[in-house]
This record gives sequence, C-alpha cells and structure tokens, in this order.
Amino acid sequence: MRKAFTALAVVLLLLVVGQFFLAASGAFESVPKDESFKPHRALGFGIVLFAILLTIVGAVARLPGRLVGMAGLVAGLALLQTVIRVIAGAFDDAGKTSTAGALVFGLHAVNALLIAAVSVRIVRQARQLSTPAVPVS
Amino acid sequence: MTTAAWIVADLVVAVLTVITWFAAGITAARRRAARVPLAGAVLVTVLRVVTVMVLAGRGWWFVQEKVLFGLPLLVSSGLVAVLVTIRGTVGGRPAVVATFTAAYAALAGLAVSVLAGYPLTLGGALIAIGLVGAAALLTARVLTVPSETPAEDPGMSRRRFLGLTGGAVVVGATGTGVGVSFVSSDSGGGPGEAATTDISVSDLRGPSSPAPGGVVRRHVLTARTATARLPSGRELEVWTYNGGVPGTAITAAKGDLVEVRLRNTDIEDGVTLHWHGYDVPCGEDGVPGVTQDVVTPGKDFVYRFRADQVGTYWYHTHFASHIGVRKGLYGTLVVTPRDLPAGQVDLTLPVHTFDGTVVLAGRDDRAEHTVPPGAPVRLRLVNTDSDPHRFALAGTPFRLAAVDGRDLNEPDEVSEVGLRLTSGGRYDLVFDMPDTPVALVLDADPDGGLLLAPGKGADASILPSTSDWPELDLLTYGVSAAVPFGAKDADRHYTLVLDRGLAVVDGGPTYAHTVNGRGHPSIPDQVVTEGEIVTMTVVNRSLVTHPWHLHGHPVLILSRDGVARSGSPLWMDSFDVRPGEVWEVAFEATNPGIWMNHCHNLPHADQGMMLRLRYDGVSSPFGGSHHH
Repeated sequence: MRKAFTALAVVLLLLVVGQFFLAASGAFESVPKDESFKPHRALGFGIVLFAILLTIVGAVARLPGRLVGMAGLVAGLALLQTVIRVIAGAFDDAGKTSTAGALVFGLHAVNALLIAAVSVRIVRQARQLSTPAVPVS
Repeated sequence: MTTAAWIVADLVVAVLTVITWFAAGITAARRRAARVPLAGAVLVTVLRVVTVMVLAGRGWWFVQEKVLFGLPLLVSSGLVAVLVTIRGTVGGRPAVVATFTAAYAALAGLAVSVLAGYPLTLGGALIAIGLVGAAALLTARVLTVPSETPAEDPGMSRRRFLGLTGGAVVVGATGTGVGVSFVSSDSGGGPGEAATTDISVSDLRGPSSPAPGGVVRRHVLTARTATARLPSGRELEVWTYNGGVPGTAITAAKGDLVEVRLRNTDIEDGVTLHWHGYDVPCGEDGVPGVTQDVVTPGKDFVYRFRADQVGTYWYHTHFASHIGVRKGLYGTLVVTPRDLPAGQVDLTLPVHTFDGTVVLAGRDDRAEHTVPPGAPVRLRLVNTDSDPHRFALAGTPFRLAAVDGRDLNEPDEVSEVGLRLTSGGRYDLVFDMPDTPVALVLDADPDGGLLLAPGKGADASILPSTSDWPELDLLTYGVSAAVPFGAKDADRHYTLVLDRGLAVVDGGPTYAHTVNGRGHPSIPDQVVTEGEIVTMTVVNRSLVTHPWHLHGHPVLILSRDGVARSGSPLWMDSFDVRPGEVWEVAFEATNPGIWMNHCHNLPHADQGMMLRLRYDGVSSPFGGSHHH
C-alpha cells in the first residue's frame, strides 16, 4: 500500500509537470483562450481528482497524517487555481484583460509553484517511508 | 457595491472559511491550543453569513444553494467543533476530527456553489454530505495510530461501530445522490404538452414569391477557404462566403423575396446560414440538426424568406459556429424601406476580430469617406464577435435610430457617449453631416474605425479621447410608448440562471457554461404554444458577460435589475446580461418551430450554454446532434 502511494505520488508530480507544459503551449497558440487552454483545464480537473485519490489511498493505508494532509493540500490548491481564474476574470470586461485581473491572475502561477513544491515533498517523504534508512537487522 | 462585486466578495470569504477551518484543524492536530485559529474560523464564518445575506437581497438565485445547504452545514459543523474543543482536551482526537469536519463542510459548501450552483439539487447535496462524511471518517482513521487499536477486542468496539455506521451513511447518501438525476421538459407554468406532434420544421418553409411590387433577390453563397489581404498588408487564412470577409452583402427592399443558395466547396465539417435577428420561418433558420442537415462539401441548400422586416441584420454559419464564425463565415443583411430618401450615405460596418486584429467592414486601418456637408448619414454597426465592442462617434451629435434592426421611439440627440454593442447586436446611428470631420472610434483605438470628411484635404488628425465618455443606457434612452404586452400578460414564465458548473456537454463531463445547472443538450426544452405571451427572467450568476440570443423572435425588454425600462420600447434579439444582472424580457410566440435560445458568446454556447425553445406539437426530422 505504501509502495502504491509512492508510485501514485510520482504520477501526480508528473501530471503537475505536464500541466506547466500545457499552460505554456496554450499561451502561445493563436486560437482564443477558451480553446487553446482546453487540455490545461481538463488536466487541471484530472489533478484535483488524482490528488483526492492519493489522499484517500494515504488515509486508508494509515500513512502519517502530515503526508495525507499534504496530498489533500494539493487537491485544495489545485481547486483554488480555478477559483483564482474565476475571480481574475471578474475584473475583465469585454474580453479584454484589465490590470487588476492580470494581477490577481498572477497568483495562479505562484499557486502552481506551491502545488509543484508540495508534490515534490510528498514524493520525497513517501520514498523515505517505503525505503527505511536504517536496515533492519 | 454591485451584485458582481458582492459575488466576488462572497467567493473570497468562502475560500477564507476553508483556509481558516483547515488552519484550526491542523493546529489542533499538532496538539496545540487551537483557541485563536478557531476564533478566527468562527469570525470568518460569521462574515460569510453576512455576505450571503447581502447577496440574498439581490435575488434568491444568487444564494439559494448557500442558504439551503452550504451555510447550514458549515454553521452546524462549526458549532460542533467549537463545543467539542471547549469540552475536550487540547489536541484530543474528537476535537481534531470535529474541526477538520467543519473544514470539509466549508469546502463542500464552496464546491457546491462553484461546481453545481443554482438550483440546489437533492443529488448534489447528498453527494456533498456523503463526501464530507467520508473525509471525516478517513481523518479519524489517519489519526488513529495502529498501536492504539486494542488487538484483543472480542466484539465490535464503539469506535468500529461508529466507523461502520458512518461508512454506511456515507455510501447511502452518495449513492442516492448519484441516483437522483433526471431530464425533462419545462412547461414554464403553462399547460402541458399535447400528446401528438403534427408539424415538422421541414414544412415550416418560406414563401416562394415576393410581396406585390417586390422582386426576387437571388444570391449564391459559396463557403470556401481563402486568403484575405488586409489594407495593412496582413494576410489572413479565413473561411468565407464567396471568397471575402465579410461575405457578400445581401440587401433587399421591404417585401422582396430573398433567395440564397448555399454551396460548400471545402469547409470540411460543413456550414449553414443563420439569419441573425431575422424572424424567418423556422425551416430557414439554418440550425443544423434541428432545422436542416449541415451542408457538407459538394452539397447545397436553398433559403427563401420574405424581407418584411426593415433594418440591419447579419448572417453567419450555425455549425460549430464558435470556430466557423470566428474564421470568417459571416456577412450582412440589410433591408431598406422601398422609398429610400435620396442622397443618403448608408454604410454597413460589421466588426470582426481575426487573431487579435480588429477588422471593420473588411479593413484593419482607418477607412475614409468623403461626405458632402448636410447629407443624411446612416451608420449600421454590426458586432460579429463573441465579445462586446465599444463604439463612440466624435464630431457630431447623433441619434441611435435603431437597435437590432428595430426603430426606437423618438431617440434623443446625444453626443459624447460610449456605445457598448453586444455580441451579435446592431446599432443604426443617424446624423446630418456637419462641415467638419466625423470619426467613428472603435474600442478607443485611434488607428482604426472610420473617418467621414466633408471634403478632400480636411484635417482630421485630432481625435478626442472617447474612452471616458459615459455609456449610453438603452433602457432610459428615447421616449416611452405603449407596448403590445407586458409582464402581467404572461401565459408562461421561464427563468434562466446562467453560471458555470460541472455538467455533461456532448457526452462528457466538463466545467461548462450552464443554464439552471445544466449544459446543452441536457437542458430541458422550453415549451410554448402559438399565440402565448412568454416572459423570461435571465439571471447571470457567473462572473463573465453572457449575450443572450433567442432565435426567431425579438424580445421586448421589460426591466433590468428590477428597474423597469423608462425609455423607448426596446426590442432586441441579443442583449448583454452582465455579471450579477437580472433581465426580464417578454416575447409573443408567433413563429412556430424549434428555436435555439443561447448565449451568443459562441465558445460559451459550445461549452453548454444553449437550449431549445419548442412550440408544442412541432418536431424535427433532423434529429439528434444539433451542432449549433
């Protein structure tokens, strides 16, 4: 179960990295944002669901609360990405981005870094758990 | 504060409830005194009650799921957390679980608002409660150190019993929640549907002859890809009707018969022609899958309708229109009175955006026209984009003579006003040419728009700044007059609450643009009977503008945000419902058929914000996948 958690945590990290890729490629397409960010949006929901799955697996496996909490944190922060986007969009009008909207949307990138950092920590701590540092004699 | 500002404030406070309750839970889990974080969470929760109450004053649609579900769940679980914490030991397991449960409740309330919205469904509420319960059980499990579990327990411990019971409740609630789901048609408070359908939309076709004295205006529109060269030298890969953008301008005099043969050369997915704002018979409306089959390469379709409505209109494809229209499949339709005043300068100016380049009547520079002083001028502005545009006319007072093709009553002369033109909408501006230049400014861009000069060599280099001109409010513009019907005459009433949410669109779950919590094609049809007066309340709960567009009927604007129209009677086919706004409109069901009723921000329509208005007894043989 712990090995499964570690494997899933690695997959989550890969998904997060892929999400950065999709964000960048979406930003440089000429079609409207609604279309170019479709894969980014889809993977975003995928990450939320995957993080929830990871949290559940961690809880069922009775991993330390801190680790399970961090998995839950990734789900929460990933959900927050949508909320940031919605709030930033509220400052825009007539399809044009306003300064306030752009400033709020900047948080989307900062939050993304946070998600990546927490995902890395989860992988590290999970690996420490599944491979004991001191060999059992 | 506007309703939209309160929606944002409430959303921010809702996020804060989640953060503060989790903070209190984590503090308690670390076996520290959690009084201060707990007090913070309670304070933010009280603040949330306030924001919800303020929003409730703006309309029940904005708060229904919060009042009936989110807040009760949060307040009750928060109360339990406070009581358990006060009575228990510092960092005790019950206090930690109770505090985390309050955090899950805060999250569930936020999730139901953001993902499901209005209306609250039994299914959604049960799923959310089930998930909160599941999260609470898992938290209890994580907090139980395995060594604490008494191994020699012979029967069922209290803890285990509670866990199993909780699990059963969770599974039951979630399962029932998933099960409670249904689609039906909505009768809007009117009589139910007749059992038989005896009219097919394919029989609802236009006449084959013009009115007496009229002529037949024959056109062939061939849809094909092309390269358009703009005055700036920029080249665009576009989809066109007859090789240019905009497509061939169609004009007619009142009473003429318009006959257009649509062909398709190489638009692989197919095209149609929809006559935007023109109340053609339903079979001519150009909605693939509803009024006809899509016209694929090599195929054709003939549209016929009588030009009985004078005014400014436009046409565009209605197949995957969020792509087709954007790429250039649009053109203008202008119907003039038979006795047109001589010497009038009449310019039709469709605005369209290609890859960020704003193009006005096919030009991306500032077009110049010479107009003799004193000549009557009519500028027909058409917004073919999905987002609104802002126009301003500098250098002369003018009248906004018509909106969406329909004349206003005694429009006042105005100057120095901004004109916000909704997606799909049209404005006719009229004035007599002064002996100084006149500039039409588009989106405050000094290099675009249009310049009318009274003679050659007139200096028109100085443009005033128009961006701070106040926006003309159509609901108070012009002079009020008697209208044929009002809210009290309604035979049926429909409410459309526009939002975002998780919904099934084209067979897959997406974060859709929704109407009453659902996405096309799962939104129930609105059913009407011929001859009825139908009112619609359109509420925008989301934070983006939704230009609402009903096919086949102009709607009479009754009120906005509860304030009745006080200016000229206002008939529109496309009206901007901005975030937090509530529009009340009415129409008379005089054009039998099956009509699309949708957001004219075309990507929004593609992402679910579209439904059908169906006359009782009318059916479509083009069944199934109606790709707008």
